[in-house]
Amino acid sequence: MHGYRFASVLVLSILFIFVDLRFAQVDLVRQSLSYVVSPVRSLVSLPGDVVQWSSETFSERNELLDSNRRARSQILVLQQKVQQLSVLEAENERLRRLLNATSRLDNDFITAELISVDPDPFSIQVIVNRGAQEGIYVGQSVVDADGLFGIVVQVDSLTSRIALVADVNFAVPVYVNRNGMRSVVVGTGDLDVLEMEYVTDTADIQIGDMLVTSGLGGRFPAGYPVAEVIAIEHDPGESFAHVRARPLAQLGQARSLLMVFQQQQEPESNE
Amino acid sequence: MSDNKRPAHGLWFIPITFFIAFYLAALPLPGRFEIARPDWVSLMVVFWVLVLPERFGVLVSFCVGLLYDSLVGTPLGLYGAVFSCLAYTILLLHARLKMYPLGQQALVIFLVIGISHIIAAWLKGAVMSTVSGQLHMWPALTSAILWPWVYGINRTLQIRFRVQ
Repeated sequence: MHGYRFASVLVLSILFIFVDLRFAQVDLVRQSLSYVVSPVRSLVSLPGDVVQWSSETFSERNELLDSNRRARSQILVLQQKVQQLSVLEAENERLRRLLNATSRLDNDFITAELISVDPDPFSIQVIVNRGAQEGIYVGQSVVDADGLFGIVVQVDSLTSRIALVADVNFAVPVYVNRNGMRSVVVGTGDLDVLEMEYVTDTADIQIGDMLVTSGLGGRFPAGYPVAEVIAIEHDPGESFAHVRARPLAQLGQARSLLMVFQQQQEPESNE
Repeated sequence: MSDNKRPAHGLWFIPITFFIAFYLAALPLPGRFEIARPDWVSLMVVFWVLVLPERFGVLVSFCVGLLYDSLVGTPLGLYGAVFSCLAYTILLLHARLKMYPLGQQALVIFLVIGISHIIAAWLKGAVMSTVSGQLHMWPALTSAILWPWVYGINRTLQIRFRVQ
């Protein structure tokens, strides 16, 4: 009797796996299951939250004043940059109109907090506290203060799972900020190293070049910094150079993230 | 004997053990120990199948697997398959395994959990690309080492709460 049950369960689970990989309908099942599991998740993040809360609550007045002062000066610097930015934006808009180009789109975003890191030692994914209820969708890009952080790979009702840029399944279309050369950056599984694919030996690329998302492929919004080139090796035996880059986002440390909503471009494409 | 006629009670204890097992499975560990994290959920499945095979069989293990899938983010059904394989193996070995002393049970559990990890790695490799193909027997080893304690504590509590 156990044998029959086992066989049917096995068939069922293989069916589940394939349906899950092919169709999106299973996401509903997954979301309802995640309600059951969510207390576990919140309990796991509880000690960290308590430590953070208590360190915020019981920290020294001087420290608070200090961090407040630092934050203020940072705001000042940023505001000054924003002032320039608005001028530049307006100028860019005018120039684009002169060129008859479509105007750039601003992206909406919501903030998210990282709540846990995948316990599986062989994958680099994290879980954040925003889910389907906030309108998160699979394929959404996530950035932190310094650059592109990752992409949403799975959405539950209250949380969602993000694959980091350094994931091996990850490839981002980028261009070199200095000269506009297009390329693709892929993850290596190491948090500190990305690789550039198909860069010819003669290509104009230097150590320190910043790589910025190009928006080609329509998956990532254009113009977010991704990585900085840290090493270039030319192997005479190979047709492509071996270029390594360091992700700009704080993959190992960031807690506050921004989830970018890409705007629908249908009305724009008619022009 | 009179216990057998009474309606089942104390079954609430099973979800609680699994809640704890899931908690321990999701708890972040320092990087070096992460590789040797005991497979708590498998241990619980093994325990309940061994102790209550008429209540906790392949189907319940499958449901636990589905929940575990949604916890760790694997395609739904992957750990369902793994845990039902595990439960089925224990059911096959059930009559012998119950007679063994704890040490010998631990040895069998090392093998069984090791095999279930191989199945899990194989399924993962088939349906999603993973970072490394190497297999790690550490979780099976630590699980086997912890088995006598898991069994002892759970068994005591199970008898105490009359989970049947």
